[in-house]
Amino acid sequence: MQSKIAQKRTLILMLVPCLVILCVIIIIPLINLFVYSFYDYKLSNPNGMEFIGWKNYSKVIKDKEFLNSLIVTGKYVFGVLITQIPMGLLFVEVLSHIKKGSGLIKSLIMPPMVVPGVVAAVIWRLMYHPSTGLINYFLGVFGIEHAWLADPKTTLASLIVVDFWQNTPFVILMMLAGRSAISDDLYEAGKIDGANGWQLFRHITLPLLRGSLMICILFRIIDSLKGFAHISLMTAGGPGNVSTTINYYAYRMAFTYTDIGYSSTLGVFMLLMTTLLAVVLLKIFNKGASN
Amino acid sequence: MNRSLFKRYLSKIGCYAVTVALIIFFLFPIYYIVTMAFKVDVDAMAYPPKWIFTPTLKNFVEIFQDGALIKSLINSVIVSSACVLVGLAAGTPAAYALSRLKCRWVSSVMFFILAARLIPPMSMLLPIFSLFVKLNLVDTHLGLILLNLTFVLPLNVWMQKSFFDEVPREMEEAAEIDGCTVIQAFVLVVLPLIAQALVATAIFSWIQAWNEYLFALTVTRSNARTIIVAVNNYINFEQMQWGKIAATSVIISLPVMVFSFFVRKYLISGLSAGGVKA
Repeated sequence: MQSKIAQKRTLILMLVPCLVILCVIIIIPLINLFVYSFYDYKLSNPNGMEFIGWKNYSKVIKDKEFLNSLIVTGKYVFGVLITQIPMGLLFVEVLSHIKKGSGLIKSLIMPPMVVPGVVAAVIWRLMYHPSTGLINYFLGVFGIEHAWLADPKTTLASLIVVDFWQNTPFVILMMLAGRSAISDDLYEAGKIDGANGWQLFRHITLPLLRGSLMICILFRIIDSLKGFAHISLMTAGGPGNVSTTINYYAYRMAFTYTDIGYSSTLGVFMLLMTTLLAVVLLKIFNKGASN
Repeated sequence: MNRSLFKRYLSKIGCYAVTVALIIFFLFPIYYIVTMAFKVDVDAMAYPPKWIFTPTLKNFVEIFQDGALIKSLINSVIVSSACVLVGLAAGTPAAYALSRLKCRWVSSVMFFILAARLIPPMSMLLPIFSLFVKLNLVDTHLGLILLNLTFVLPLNVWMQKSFFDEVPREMEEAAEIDGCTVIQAFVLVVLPLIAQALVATAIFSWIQAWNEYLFALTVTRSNARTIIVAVNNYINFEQMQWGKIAATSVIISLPVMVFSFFVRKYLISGLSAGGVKA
């Protein structure tokens, strides 16, 4: 038998390759991100990089496009949460009453979340098509015909619908897993005490589902902040800039204007925003959990 | 008739109605794109939509006559499979070590790996892209594989650590008393126990790398372009070639659908470890 110290050494050695790879592909780029944000660095500029201190940062703060992208991102994330979380909860409540065939139902609602984002974007672009799309065809019954993606008033809402289609299955399946862990005895006891359906939901399901709910909220926020394929293929940030999220704005700065310095500064802002959000959310969740 | 029984009956019907509506909402768009792939162009753009039509394989034949599409299909297979291999080779031992080590810094390492998942891909892409330009890694398989590992590797560690945590330590202790080293106990005793879960992790990594769009769009051109980006070939401003777009979409989605069906049992742990889309 190996000594405890030799065992520990082996285990640490097993960890090394993974950590080395992660350092190379994550830590080094992140350091570079911060470094570039202090340079005037355009790929098109033959003179290379020039150190300009905090200039990129003061530019970001004054940038109206940046402010717009923050507002768009905020609206988008809010729209995602306000639709997916309550609807997810509602569906979970409904599905929990169906005992037979629940495995089949789960398999049937799964496809949208595994389909590549690109394919989801293509499908919905086709469905939203103003002259031949199915959505206008169905709504034609009510006399509604609309250019859903092209009209700035409905662009974001249309994108939120696509996100709803693609990601609500995730919310439902996550919460179903949490819901199935709640013992039926609790509901029986509640019924004996004369609680109605709403009271059972409010005082048993909701508090005990809190963990899954919080994870869903955290993931939906983080993932919708980095959403790219839908916007890129359906609206390209337009019309105008009504669907240019901060993620898409940084992309455009880097790959249309090849301004690596400025887009890196945007990247730093995104990184700080995400970190701050995650820390605050985790704090709130942990606080709630200990209460 | 008993009133409460009637009410219960009604609510049961309501539940089924909502469920059916839900399933139709989630599945119909997929059905729609599949039928589109089997329509000739006139039928595809017919208005009102044609529900009954003569199916044709024309779109599939045409996209496969295009050498670039086959090349990008092969590229996708190469990149995703390489990500799976590296993910397992580096991630599995690391996950095991993290599960078995009793040190205070283990939780910090796990947090670092979790944090890697929270970093916006764009923040990593920007500096990596300019590094790739300098190192001539743009439009190479290696470049795209490295980028995809930024999410595949953390996914591997998180998923597998939870599997290893469930294996009782007594198994290895018995093997070690019989004279096994740590490595032997790991390979001969523990790995076979979680073989099924390892396959699930591999499939998840494969799907995630296959579905990745942002990295593939920005760091590949013609040589290493993956099939996910190839849909763009048929999208232009003058004319959308919907038949071909739909056929390509079906080809892209097919492996993902089949694979995910096999790992549906692990879907929740996989998704919470890796998130849905990059």
